Amino acid sequence: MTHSLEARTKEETVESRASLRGRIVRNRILRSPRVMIPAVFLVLVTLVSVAAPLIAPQSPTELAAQPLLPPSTAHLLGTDDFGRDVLSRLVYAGRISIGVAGVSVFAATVVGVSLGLLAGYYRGWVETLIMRAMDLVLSFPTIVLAIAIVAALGASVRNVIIVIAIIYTPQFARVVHGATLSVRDADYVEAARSIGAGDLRILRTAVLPNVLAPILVQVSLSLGIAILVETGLSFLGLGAQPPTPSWGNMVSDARPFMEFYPWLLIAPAATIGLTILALNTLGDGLRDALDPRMGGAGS
Amino acid sequence: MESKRFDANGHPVEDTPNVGGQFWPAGRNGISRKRFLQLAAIAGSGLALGACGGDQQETAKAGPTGPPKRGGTLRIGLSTDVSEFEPHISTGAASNLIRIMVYSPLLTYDKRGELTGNLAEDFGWADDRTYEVKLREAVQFHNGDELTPEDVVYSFQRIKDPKTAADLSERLADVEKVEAGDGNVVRFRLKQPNAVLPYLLADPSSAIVSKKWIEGGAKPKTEVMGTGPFKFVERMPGVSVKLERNDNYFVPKLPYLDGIDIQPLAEDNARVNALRSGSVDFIDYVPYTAMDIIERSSDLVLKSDKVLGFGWMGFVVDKKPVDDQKVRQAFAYGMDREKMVQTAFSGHGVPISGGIIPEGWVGYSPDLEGTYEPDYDRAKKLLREAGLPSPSVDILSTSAYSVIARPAEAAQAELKNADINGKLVMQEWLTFLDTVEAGTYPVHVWGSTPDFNDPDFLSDYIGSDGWFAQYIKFKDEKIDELLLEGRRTVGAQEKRDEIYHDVQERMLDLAPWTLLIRREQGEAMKSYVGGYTHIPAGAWSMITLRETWLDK
Amino acid sequence: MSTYLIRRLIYLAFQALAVATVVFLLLRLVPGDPVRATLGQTATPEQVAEVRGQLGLDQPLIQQYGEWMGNLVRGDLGTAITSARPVSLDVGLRIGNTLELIVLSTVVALAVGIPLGVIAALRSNKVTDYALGSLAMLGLSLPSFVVGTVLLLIFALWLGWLPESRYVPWGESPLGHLRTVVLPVLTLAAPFAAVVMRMTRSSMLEVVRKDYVRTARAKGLGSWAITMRHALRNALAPVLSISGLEVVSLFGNTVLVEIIFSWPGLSSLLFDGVTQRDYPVVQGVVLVIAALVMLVNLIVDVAYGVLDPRIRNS
Repeated sequence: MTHSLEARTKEETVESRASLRGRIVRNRILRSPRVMIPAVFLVLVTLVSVAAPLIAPQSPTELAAQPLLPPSTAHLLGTDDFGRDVLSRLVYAGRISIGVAGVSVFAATVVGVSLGLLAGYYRGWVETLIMRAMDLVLSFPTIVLAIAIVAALGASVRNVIIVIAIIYTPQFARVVHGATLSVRDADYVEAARSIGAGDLRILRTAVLPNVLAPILVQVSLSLGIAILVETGLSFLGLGAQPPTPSWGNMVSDARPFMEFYPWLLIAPAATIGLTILALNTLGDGLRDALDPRMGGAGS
Repeated sequence: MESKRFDANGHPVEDTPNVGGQFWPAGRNGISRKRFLQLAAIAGSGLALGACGGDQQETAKAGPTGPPKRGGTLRIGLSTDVSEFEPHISTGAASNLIRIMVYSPLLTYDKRGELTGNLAEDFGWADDRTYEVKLREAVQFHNGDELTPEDVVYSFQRIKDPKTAADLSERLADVEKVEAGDGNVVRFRLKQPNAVLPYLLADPSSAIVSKKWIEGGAKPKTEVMGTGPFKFVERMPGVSVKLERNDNYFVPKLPYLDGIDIQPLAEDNARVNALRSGSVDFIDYVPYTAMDIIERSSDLVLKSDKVLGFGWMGFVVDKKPVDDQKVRQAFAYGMDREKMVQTAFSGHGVPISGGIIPEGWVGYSPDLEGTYEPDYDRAKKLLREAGLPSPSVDILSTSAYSVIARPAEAAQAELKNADINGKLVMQEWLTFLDTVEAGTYPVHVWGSTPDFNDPDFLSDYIGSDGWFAQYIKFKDEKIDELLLEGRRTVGAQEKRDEIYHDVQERMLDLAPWTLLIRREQGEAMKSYVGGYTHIPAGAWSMITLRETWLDK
Repeated sequence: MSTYLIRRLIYLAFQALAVATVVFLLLRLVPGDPVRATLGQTATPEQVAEVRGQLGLDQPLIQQYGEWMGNLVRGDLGTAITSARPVSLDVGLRIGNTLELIVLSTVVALAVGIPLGVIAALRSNKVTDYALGSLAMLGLSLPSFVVGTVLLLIFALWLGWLPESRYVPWGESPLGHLRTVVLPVLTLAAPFAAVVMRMTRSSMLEVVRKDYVRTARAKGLGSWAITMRHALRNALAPVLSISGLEVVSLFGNTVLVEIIFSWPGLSSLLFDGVTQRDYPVVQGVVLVIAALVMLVNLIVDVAYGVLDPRIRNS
């Protein structure tokens, strides 16, 4: 029974080592301003968007006042060309952009991570098949693909989600595939296998926690790109349809008027920029905090 | 321009005014002089309804005065790129423009928007089933070949040939034979009288092509050779189409311009900015958002009308909830169209609360004005009577064109006042066309312009054979009867007035669609561009470009 | 090396074809009839059927595909439905415009990003570094349509410095052309330059820590010379590789930019083709873009090999 005692000890060591590492990483993350500040901002933006019906001063689709009014106390960001309150529209639009980004990246994560794990762990023809398919999608300029698919399937929020999920699945698959490759032959995996743990258990307890770091970073970056793509598609008229506001179509709608009524452009443009900036900074910060080579709480 | 009657030998005969409307004195089937001046005044002072405070400019910004100067190239920024050059099929505004510049139909429009001769020197009804035109002498195609009646005959044969899939083949179904006669005459023999024929002869899609050229193997989809004021030079897709003056044009002294350079600028903002910056001299389809800016600029001129373009809300009459006439009428009462003009176009438009036929046309019925003044209470009452006190309904429209999308949004907002909860479903253009055809959604918002200035255009929409009526499954025998009678009544304007009055009255009552607003539509140009007249006819024909000149 | 190249090229060809095939199928499975759109609402079903027959659109899918492939081998990309022009002609006319934007943006991005990245690396963790880093983050975070629109607003509408908002062909006016190309290139180059800057900085920082730089220092060379010749040379490899990825995403961004600035390039041709369901145009352009993108990847891989002395010397 020496063998199993050894193995059990190894397993415990593996797990305790993992949890210690987890704690260190968590502390590093919490202490990094590049992670926490954007995180707070993003949480706020998300909360505001979710609570839109409660927070927004007016309805985003009601014609509340004269069109093209400049910012005032009654309308903090003025009114658009239909006479709708811009601030309310902005708040509601967040639901679309954040919602689309969230759902699509979630879907991409689930599918992509699974595919990446499978490819990296099993290798062989499974790997080839999966990774070649991923390559195919990756090799194509994303916006072009997105436009083609959405324009063909019909412009709607649902289709945008599907398209973004499809386009970003390969990123996750790739990242996880690479990470899996590097850990699959590690000691603790070997150990787990030697005690007869099933593949699924191994994947879940040994492999997954160690590829978590790059996944997190990728999630944060993908969210940013997802918002970029969603706003881009909405700008082209392929996303949320009028009168539903989206940050992208608000920018597009502002164009005939921006010369004399610039706030119509600045409000959604700044919101998009800040949100993506926050996501990118977060991703950067996470990457640094999770990078084992960097000591301290990131810079 | 007087028209004459001819006997069988092509000799002119004394005119007798009573035989079935063979003349075209002002006011018959076009816009009368008086009307046009009224409309021009309204169009010119479009400022009066501008929303943003609108400074009233008293001085009408006239173009350059003085005799036209020869020379120069007019740079046009166009709202669409031409796709192909097929003379007998229209593929959009760009196609119409280019075809009317390089080809010539038999008739065209004059500055007043009335039919006038083009390749035809004289034209008119010989009897109620025979239409005659006398061609001008010595007209040359761009390659030097002379125009003969055989070319005309050939062109119409080509139009009727199913292989061509020509626009007008259906409309010309009444034309049994086109024959060449002595003295440069061409006769159209019809199976039935058809009051619309003259308009069809002014449509760019009835362009006269050279028999020799086509039979010699030319590819009219990509090659161009006609009798128009300009010759085709070259095309760079997405960049430009270049035309140059036809020195042998059959109207002496015209055109004044050395050439025309057409650049596609589909993006509204880009097109307007190109004009403002002087990058182009002339643009079409001025978006309403730019109209005020253009009016305020001292170096820009807007020429527009609020007569032709119209928008509507259509109902698929066998689909719930609009299968009930009361519900449809409720929709019609439930919208304040005056407000919609403000919301959708900042005042650049006029509401249509009654008949659809514009002032100055046959069938104009001012007594029907105000049939559907907004009456929310009445709308709600009708809905209650129909058993649908607060219906929710999907409204289909398209985000592709703001002239359609904006009224759709405005309409949806308005309908709430009548407790109608409309949910807008916006699709991109081609998908929208398919969906409307399939009749998937009970309600849609759309817009268009009449192909020609005669009330018979309604046959397309509410005549049961019309493409639109088929989409919305509308069929009414009485309307069909009236429309047919109207088409077959050549001349006798009073009779036609009556017929089309009744058509509109019944149409309003049955409400297969409800008309929304007319948009202001027009072209804008630099103040040094002279000689251009905006014609609210022929779907905004730009034929007057042949008399346009540059004061530079 | 050459066998590797040939293998990659063949693989590239297959990939491009695979992509185009997928598009071929997708296009025909979705609603929207290009013929109907061309002929207009008044067209009768008979007319539509007639034209569909003329264009071969009523044949079984397999046959259409076979015909398309057959033409492809001969270099014929088919004929556009809307314009009846050969697709290869239009692609040829417009590819130059898109490539112009891509090449110019790449040059600008590298010319701005690399030096800035070096500066940031040299002054790492100081104010300059933070400032540059923030600027880069901003460049990365603003979508191209936002940047393009804002640039248009400021430079074309408000300041009037660059008023041309239409494409001016080089032949018509070189100065005019240059004026029209500035804003689109800036819009495209901004995020690209940001990425290059960041990559250069981090790559340089890594390299500076390495031993061989210390060795070179020991040899007595001035620190500036060391930086430029050794460190930069080695740092460039990952920069190159990421630039390759960026160029791919540039193709994506050119769609938005070409639309905003009315630039007659390949991407706007594609967009028009998609909205009009012009199958031959979309298939042809997708094929060409896919091939270009893969070609770029190939070039980057090869250049990577050439540049990285570690790979070269191994």
